[in-house]
Amino acid sequence: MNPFRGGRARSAPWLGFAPGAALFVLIALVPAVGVVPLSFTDISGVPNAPWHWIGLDNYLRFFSGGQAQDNFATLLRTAVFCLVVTVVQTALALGLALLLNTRMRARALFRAVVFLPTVLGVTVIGLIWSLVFDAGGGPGQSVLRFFGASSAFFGDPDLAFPLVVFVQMWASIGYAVVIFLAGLQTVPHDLVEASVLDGAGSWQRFRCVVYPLIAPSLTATVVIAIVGSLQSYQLVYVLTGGQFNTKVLALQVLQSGFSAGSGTGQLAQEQGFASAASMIQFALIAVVALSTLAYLRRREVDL
Amino acid sequence: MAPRARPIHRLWAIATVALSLALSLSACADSGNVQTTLRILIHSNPPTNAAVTALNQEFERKYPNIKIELTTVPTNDFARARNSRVAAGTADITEGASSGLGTQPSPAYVTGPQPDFVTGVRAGNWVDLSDQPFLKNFSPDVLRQVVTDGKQYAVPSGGVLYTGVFYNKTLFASAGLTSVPTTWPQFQDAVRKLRAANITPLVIGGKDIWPAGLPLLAVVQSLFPDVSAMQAFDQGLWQKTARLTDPISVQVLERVKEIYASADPTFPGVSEDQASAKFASGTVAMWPDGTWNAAAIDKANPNLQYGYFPLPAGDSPAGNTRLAGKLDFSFAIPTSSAHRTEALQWLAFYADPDNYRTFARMTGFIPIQPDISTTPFNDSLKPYLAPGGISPAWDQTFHPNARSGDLSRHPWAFPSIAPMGRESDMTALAQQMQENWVASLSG
Repeated sequence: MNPFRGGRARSAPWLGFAPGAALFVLIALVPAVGVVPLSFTDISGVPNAPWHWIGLDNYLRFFSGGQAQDNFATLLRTAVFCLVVTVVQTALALGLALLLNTRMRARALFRAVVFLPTVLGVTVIGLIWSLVFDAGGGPGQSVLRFFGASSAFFGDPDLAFPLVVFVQMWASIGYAVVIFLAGLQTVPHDLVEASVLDGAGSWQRFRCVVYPLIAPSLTATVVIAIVGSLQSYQLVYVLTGGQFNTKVLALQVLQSGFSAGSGTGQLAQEQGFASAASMIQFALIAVVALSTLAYLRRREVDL
Repeated sequence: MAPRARPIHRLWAIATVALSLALSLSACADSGNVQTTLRILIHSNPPTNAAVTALNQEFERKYPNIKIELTTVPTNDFARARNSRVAAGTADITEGASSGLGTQPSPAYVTGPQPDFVTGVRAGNWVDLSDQPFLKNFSPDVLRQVVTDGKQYAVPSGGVLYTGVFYNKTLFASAGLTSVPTTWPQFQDAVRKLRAANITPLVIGGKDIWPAGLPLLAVVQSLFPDVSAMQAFDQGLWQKTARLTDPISVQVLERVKEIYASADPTFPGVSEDQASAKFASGTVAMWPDGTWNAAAIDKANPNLQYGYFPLPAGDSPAGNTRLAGKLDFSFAIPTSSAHRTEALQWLAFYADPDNYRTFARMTGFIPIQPDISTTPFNDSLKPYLAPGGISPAWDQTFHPNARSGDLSRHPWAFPSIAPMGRESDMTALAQQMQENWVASLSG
């Protein structure tokens, strides 16, 4: 029986829902939509300073002029970051989930260990890996010195980006493993046993029985990884500050809008330009995530 | 009918209201002792934090009705925090600009937005301090460097120099170096001798990026004859009469590249703090960084025998005699402050020569009040100071181009030079910088 079916009770769920919805609109939706008009202005971020409507100037500036080369490099790096994190992390997570779904000793402990990094804050993760790869004498450097080599790690323009990608995957793989584990536990045992009786090998069992049944988990994991990696800037900020060829688009938005004035005290904050960059980021995320979602959903039906 | 008994909770309510009233009245009677909280916001830097904290304690002792709430914010987050708190009216004293140049409107030949502080002054965000009597305590030459649109909105904190090199006297002696190098060939020779003695010649805090730019500023200081030549190059770039491919520009890059090659190759992974610790531990002979680090070195190793000399990137000794730097951050009062009177009292207290002497000694700043002597280290720098005080370094002369890319926003592009970056061909790098710069002016 529905307790909210008639009379005044019908409005009760809405009353419960309203405060949360109001907060969402006020704190998330209004600022997000507000960025759209701001991206067509020269608003600086300095309180009370006048600002003007400048049309498409911020967008034109992003794709042409002196910053275009850097911006295209940043876009390319962001795409590589997203692609590598999504593909490698998903593959590793699936493998780990399959492993952790078998009957093994201390399975609960291993599951906890895999999930552990996801409960750590970004700053803690940054600190851990900064210490591990401390060029001044961290464990990573000690290992290299044992072999007569050395590295600047996060200060090496060729190595910093792969290391940041690695840390990003290390930090977020636990979620993907949990999603895959949840999916694997919905696979009926009798189906698997039937395929064994039919003579299917382990690869055939996975490809023809398990994979089609966990396809929705794959969709969720891939889309979360894409959106997360395209939005991510925190680890890059903590590990390298965006230097040494590691800057991604989300970090550029932050630096243009909020940090430009800090380093030298001479460059002004440009929140209008940052808004335009964030709109470009939004478009990128929307196109990539929605098209991937549509493709994977279609695959689920085909399977 | 018998009167109804008064419920016990009603009695409690009456008693509570009565007690509240009594407390309120007593508070009103004691209103002369109500404390004002003065909120100060500065960027985080251990010596400055300690100096301002010590100053605040003395101030609270003198003005017991004023309580100070000091907030320090990491440098990279400071501009964001300041703008938020100025807008909200929750800062009574804060940093107006992080350097002298940040208080100066850009000249007409510079396109793009004005510095944040100048924009803020024009938006009415900062209190005009021009008539404040405490300003007479500071050197007039210095105050002139932080005037915005003809008025004084900022009170400077002190000077810093950063075109020199800390050197370890003991390690120099053990490598057979009896005096500091005064020319580029002598510097190269010193590096060779230190290497031959199995001593690491240089450490640089490359991980924090900007410390790796300090040797660049030293090279520019040496290779350009004077400040007016640097100003002319700045103007020439903006007006396209100078090029980043000019011979002097390529020479700057080549010398920075050689300085980087003299350091431990892992220096891009070493932070400024780690570089400081390495130098203080006595394992590295030279450290090109700013004079503000002297206090940290003394604290880490009071027995270290060290000195500071201009990094000699010029071929003749005459070009390598001056240290350059900047006026560091300045204090300012937001017009949104509800405690302007108390904030002015704090600035006057800070400007008092006795208090300022302590502040300058603790921060390691070069004093900007006349006739103030702080530390033996700062006194040792006097021979390298320009007659008018602190000679502005290249970063205080050049007007950065917000529309330019990373390669030419702050020439020269030291983060691109190997091993900080990937570029080893300085002529090619200069060409890329020039193309980037021209694109920013036409884009």
